[in-house]
Order: sequence, then structure tokens, then C-alpha cells
Amino acid sequence: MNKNTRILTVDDSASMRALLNHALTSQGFNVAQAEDGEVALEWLAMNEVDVVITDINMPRLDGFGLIEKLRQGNRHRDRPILVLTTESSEEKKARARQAGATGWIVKPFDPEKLVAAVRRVAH
Amino acid sequence: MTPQEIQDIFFVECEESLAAAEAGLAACRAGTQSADTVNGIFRAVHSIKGGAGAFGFSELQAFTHVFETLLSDVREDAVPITGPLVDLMLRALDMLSDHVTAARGEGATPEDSMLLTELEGAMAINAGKAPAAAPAPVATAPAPVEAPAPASVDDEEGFMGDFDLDALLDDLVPTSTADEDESASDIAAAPADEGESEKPDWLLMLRPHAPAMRNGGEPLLLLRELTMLGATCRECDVSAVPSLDAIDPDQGYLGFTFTVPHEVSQDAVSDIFDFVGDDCPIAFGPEAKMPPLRLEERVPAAAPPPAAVAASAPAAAPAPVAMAGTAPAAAPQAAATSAAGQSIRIDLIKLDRLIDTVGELVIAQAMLVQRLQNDNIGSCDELAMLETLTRDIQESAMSIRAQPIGSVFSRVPRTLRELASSTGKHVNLQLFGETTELDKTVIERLGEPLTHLIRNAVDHGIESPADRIAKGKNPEGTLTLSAEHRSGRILIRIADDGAGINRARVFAKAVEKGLISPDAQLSKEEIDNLIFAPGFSTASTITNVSGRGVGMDVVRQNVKDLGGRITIDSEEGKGTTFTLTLPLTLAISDGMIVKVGDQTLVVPLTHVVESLRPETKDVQGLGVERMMLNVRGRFIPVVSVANAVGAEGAIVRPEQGVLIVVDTESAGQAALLVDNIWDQRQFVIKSLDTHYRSVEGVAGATILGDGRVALILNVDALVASATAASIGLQAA
Repeated sequence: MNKNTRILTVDDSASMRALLNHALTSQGFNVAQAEDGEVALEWLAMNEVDVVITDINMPRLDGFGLIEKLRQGNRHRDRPILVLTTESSEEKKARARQAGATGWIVKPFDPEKLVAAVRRVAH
Repeated sequence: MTPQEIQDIFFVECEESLAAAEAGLAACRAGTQSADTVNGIFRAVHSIKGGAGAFGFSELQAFTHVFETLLSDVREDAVPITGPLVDLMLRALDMLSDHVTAARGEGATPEDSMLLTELEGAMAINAGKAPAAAPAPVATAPAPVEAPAPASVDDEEGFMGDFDLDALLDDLVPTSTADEDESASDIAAAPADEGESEKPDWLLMLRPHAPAMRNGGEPLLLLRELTMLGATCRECDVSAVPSLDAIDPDQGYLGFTFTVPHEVSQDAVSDIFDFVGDDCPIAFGPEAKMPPLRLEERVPAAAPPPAAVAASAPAAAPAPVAMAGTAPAAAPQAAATSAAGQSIRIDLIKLDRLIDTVGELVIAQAMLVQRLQNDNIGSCDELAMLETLTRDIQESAMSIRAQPIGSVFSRVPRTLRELASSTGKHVNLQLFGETTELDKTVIERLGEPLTHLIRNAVDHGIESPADRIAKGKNPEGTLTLSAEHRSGRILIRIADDGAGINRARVFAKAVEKGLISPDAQLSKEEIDNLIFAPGFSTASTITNVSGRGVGMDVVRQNVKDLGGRITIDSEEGKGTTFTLTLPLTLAISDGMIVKVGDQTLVVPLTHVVESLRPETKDVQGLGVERMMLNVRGRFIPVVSVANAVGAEGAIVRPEQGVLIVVDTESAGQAALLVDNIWDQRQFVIKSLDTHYRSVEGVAGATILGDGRVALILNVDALVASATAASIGLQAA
């Protein structure tokens, strides 16, 4: 199942995107990347995905906004969405949960743990 | 992609972030910041921090963390934006830049402890007044959330319900520090007791909430992973399951108790659950420490299903409050448009190959036009369309390499700050045309000469505050940097409102250095241009600011290497303006195609001042070999291109040909004698070295529209050797 798991990563940092891409594709995941929430929404409108991994602090549309928008529609109501951010405050976690995040991973991430987290939510 | 390549991307990103933060802080300083300005600065620093963590630059990460915390306070209006604060943040930004440099391995790690103390002192929690409203309620918000639910079970040393899982996990990991969380004291006892025990199998209790399934979560996967670790389900609490018609499929009704083998560490289990947060609360410990298995045995009153729902209700209630508190901050962020557009990164080699090929395309297209014109079928629509398309492709290809000059300008504030502290001269900066685009290579190589000119302007141009006051000027000088496109080239001006060039002093200095004779008659412009002469320096003492062994001659050479020119416009007492004229691209140059006897040659347009058909009286012989051209009362040497390149059948008498007045680096102006000017067009320089060998006086070759190869003259070398030869002849 993991072989075909499609993941969209959303992060405005090119180096972070490269790290994520490296960590996930090396485990056989099918990875697409977007640099902010707006781009992610556009991409998701045209493509199918199994798991979304998103940053919080991004220009244009941030991670909270992205998750809220995705949860509004039926299509992504049950989509696993992992938040990947350097933020670790309880307030931000509460907001992410409120917005509808499935899980929360703190950067810098351990590639193995990230992959494990993805496997835990990919259904 | 190798880790090194990813790291390189990170450093490029750092530069972008630093520039963005610098621009944001400049806006704060000018008082023109918008709601999103601070957000942008925060994001920039935040992004560096994220990468620093990922790549293991701990010093960089530690510094950005403190800086980011302060910015977070500013963002949430917990700390007001004041002049001193902006100055502090600017210094922090400079320090951050140094940290980035150090991380790249190009410098020592800066000493930041003093600055860190200052940054911490500026934070909201350390401000004299009560901690501002914004962070405080947020920080305490979770507390009331936890309080109601666990309260009922806490007395039994169990941790079910809505508790702070992260705080719990933090406390279970011996190395981490306990935070001030209310529940910490309760939980802290657990690991201590556990450590002493004989490591029996232990119990894990979990009860997925409704949200655990609603937000794309699937507790089943977690349970499955748990069993893969060797855990066995000992008890499934079904007491909360309602009758079938009342079941909400998204709701969590089951509670589980697992027995986990003693060899499985609690960390391994925490790992499974830590990312879902308290959607799926867990509690674990030795069996004796755990509450009774059955919910109804434990909290008879709170056990029934409605209570389970109620338990999460208070959790939900405070959340909207937290939302409301942060909503104003989020709104502008979402609405704001990104300063940096969307982009992809391409290997520069690929891009250069594209541009080179496009250059060939342009030439091929020109060849085709010429060929068809020879056959009298040159004026057809298809050809016109091809020409338009070729030009469009060329422009698009060149624009890919183009970058806004703002990336160079954005480093100027820092230079000025450093100059202010070393010279005591505070200078206001005005920037115009930051979005003007020019070639990436030009941008990269522009930084050094520009910095030198700015240092020079502050050090030599702008007077000390006392002098300025005495002259009735604003004690703070003004430096104006501007960039604009003009007829296919870029004009960059560096203007100061200082004392202007002291021509008497420059003249005296040049005489003293033996650059000119004491009785030389020089125009104002010529005197000004003396400062570009090698080895010239007017500062009576070499300051550590601009006197660094390199002079303005190096600046001029740098600009020249870029195919550009530099001119001075100075008015005593009013200030000096340096104007750099640069090509838009290095790949394609403008040239004049000239005929000299049996040869067709290209004179790069960067050197050309004017061209003229001289009358007999304009040219005067000087001895047998030399001729001088009278250009509005000034005499410049005439250089026969035919002699220099060995062309046959060329015109010898200047009045029968055309003279092209050129500027040269080392030999001043000269007039090149050619038969006639054929055309003026763009050309792609092909190196002779790679295809043949380097030839003196020739800069390279290009292919003309008709397919013939034409040599591009190296005007500097040509004129220098020609005038040197004739002077030598004269001396002999």
C-alpha cells in the first residue's frame, strides 16, 4: 500500500521541500510539492492525494487556512493532514486541531519518524 | 539530489530571507510598515530557523529562535514597534547574517551572547509592564481545558480524558525539562517510580475521541502498530457504546487497555501517539499505578456516554476563544500576497546553454533574412513573423537570467550602518528602481564595485556632521541609489549630497603621484576622472573604510569587465554622482560592424563615443607616423585599424574614411580609422581561445548575418599598443 501512497507536501522553503522530497521518495512514496496553501489548493483541485503534509507559516495561504479550506469540502473531509512545523506551542497545536489537522510533527523532523507518521495515517 | 545540494538551496534561501527581512525592517524604520510587514520578517527568520534545525546548524538555530520569539511578540502587538526596537532588530539581522555566513563555513561563529541578552530583554515577558494581553491568555488557555476533565480522575493517579499529552511526554523523557504545566507535578512522579521497578509488563490505556476519527485520523492503524510491537489488548471498554440507532460513525465510543511487554520502551509507544496529540489520549504505567480498567468502576458519575461527549465539550469551548484571539493576526496573513513570486530553480549551466542557443538562433534568423533578400524574396509575412518570434524568444530567454537589482541594494543598509559606526556619519538612504532587472551575473559582480562606491561616498564625499551643520546642510547626509532601464542598457546612479570632488586637491595629488605634469590643462571632467587612475587616493590618511589597497581604478575595471562604463558628475559643495552604464546581458553585445579594407570587423558599442567623417582640417599630422584628430579643440590620436590588424586595401587618409571615437581603459580616447560603418547590431561573442588561440587586439569572433566570421576588436589593447608603438617611435 505504501508504494502507491501519494503525498502532497506544502512548504514555502525550497530546502525543506527538497528534504521532504528526499525523505519520502526514498521510501517509495509518490510525492508532489506545493510552496504555499494557494498552490496546494490549486493542485488538489486537479489531482488525487492520500496524505497532505503542510507547514504552518507560509505566505498567501498559511497551513491553518489550507486545512480549514480542505475540511470545508466533502472531498478532503477525511483526508489525513499532517502539520509539519517548527512551531511547538500549545496554542498553535490547539489551532491546528481546531482547523482539522490529523497530526502534528515538529521540525526539524527525523525522516524515519516522518515516514512512520505517514504510514500511521495513510488509509 | 545530494544533501549538499539541498543544503546549498538552504543557503540561497537564507540570502532571500535575509533580504526580505532587511526590506521589512527598513519599512519599519521608515514607519511605512503594514500589517504583513512584521509577518514577512517573522516568516523570513522562521524559515531560516527551520532549515538551521534541519541541517544541524545549532548556533544559527539557537540565535534565530530568540530572534523569532521577539518577532512573534512584535507580530502579536505584545511589543510595540519603536525606533530603538527596530535598531535592535537590525543589529540582530546583521548578526543573523553573520551566523549564516558562519554556517556556510565562510567565517567564525559570531559572539552573540550580548545581543541575545538584549533581544531577550526586549521580549514581552521581560517588559516592565504586565505581559501584554496577547500571549498571556493563550499560554494559560490550555490549563482550563485540562482542568475539568482530568480533575475527576487525577485523584486516582490516572490520566484519562483531555490532558496535555505533550507535557506528559516531556515529563516522561528524563532529559527534557519539566514545564510549568499544572499537571506536571502529578505526572513527574510516574517515571521516578517506574525506574525503580523490575520492569514488569506495563499497561497502556487509550480512548480515541471523536476528533481522532473526524480529521482523517484512523485509530485502528495506531492500534495495529501497537500490536506489532507485541502489545495485546486486554480490555476493550464498550460501556460508552450507545444503541445502534444512536451511533455516530465518527464518534469514538471505545476505550482500550493494552498490556505492553516490558521490553518495549514507553518512548516507542509514545512515538506512535505523539503526533496525534490529545485527539487520542493515552496513559501508561505499571499496572499497580493505573486506574481500574473499567470506566464505570472508575468514575461512576462521569462514565456514561453523554459525559464522554461532555468531556470534550469544555475542551472545545475555550478553543474558539483562542481562535478569536489569533484571528486578527491570521487574516492579513492569508490576504497578503507574497512578495516573492512563484519560481523554479534551474541549473545555471542549462540556462546558459539555452541562451547561447537562442543567440545562435538570432544569428541564423538574420542569415536567413539576408539570404532571402539576396533572392528578392525577403519581404514576406512568414519571415516577418519569424523575426518577431525570434526576438520574443530572445527577450524571454534573457529575462530568465534577469533578476531585480533590489538584491544588491538590500545589502546597502547594512554597509551604511557599519560605516555609521566607524565614521560617525549617519546617512539616509533613498532607493529608486529596486525592481529594475538585469543579468544575474552582472548582479553578482556588481556588489563589490557598488559597495566600494558607497564606502567612498560616505568616507570621502559626505562631510562630518559638524562640517555639514557649518555649511547649513542637514547633519545627516543622503545617499541616493537608483536604477533604470535606458535604451537597452541599465543606468545605476550612486549620488551623495556631500562636498563634491575637490578638484584642486585631486589635481595636486595627481601631480604629486606623477600621473600628470604640473602644467597640464585639464577639463573638470578630466580632473574628476583622475580618481580612476591606478594608485590614486585622495584620502590623506588611508582609512579602514575605503582605503583597502584597491582604489577606484579597480572599481572602474570591474565595471568595464561587465561591459559597462562609469562616469562622474560632481559639483563642489553639492555632491557627487557616479553613473554606471551596464549592459542588460553579457551573452549578447551591441557592436558596430565596420569595413577595413578586405576585412569586416566588430567594434563593441560600449567603447564608442561618437563617429564622424573628418574634414581635412580636423586631422593634423604629428611627425611622420602620427595623426591627431581635433575633436572640438581637443586632440586625440588617430589609430589605423588597418595597420593594427593587417588589412589590405584599406583607406589611409582619414578624410576619406570614417573615424570612430572610442573610450579606452588605459589610453584615454582615440579615434579608430575605418573605411566605413556597415551596420550596428547585436552579436554573440564566441571565444577565439577555445576555437583557435588568443590573438592580441582581438576580443573574440562572431558570425555575421551572411554567415561570415568577423573578429571583434579588443579596443583597449588595440589602442594601447598602437599609441605605445607610436610614442616609442617618437621617443626613438
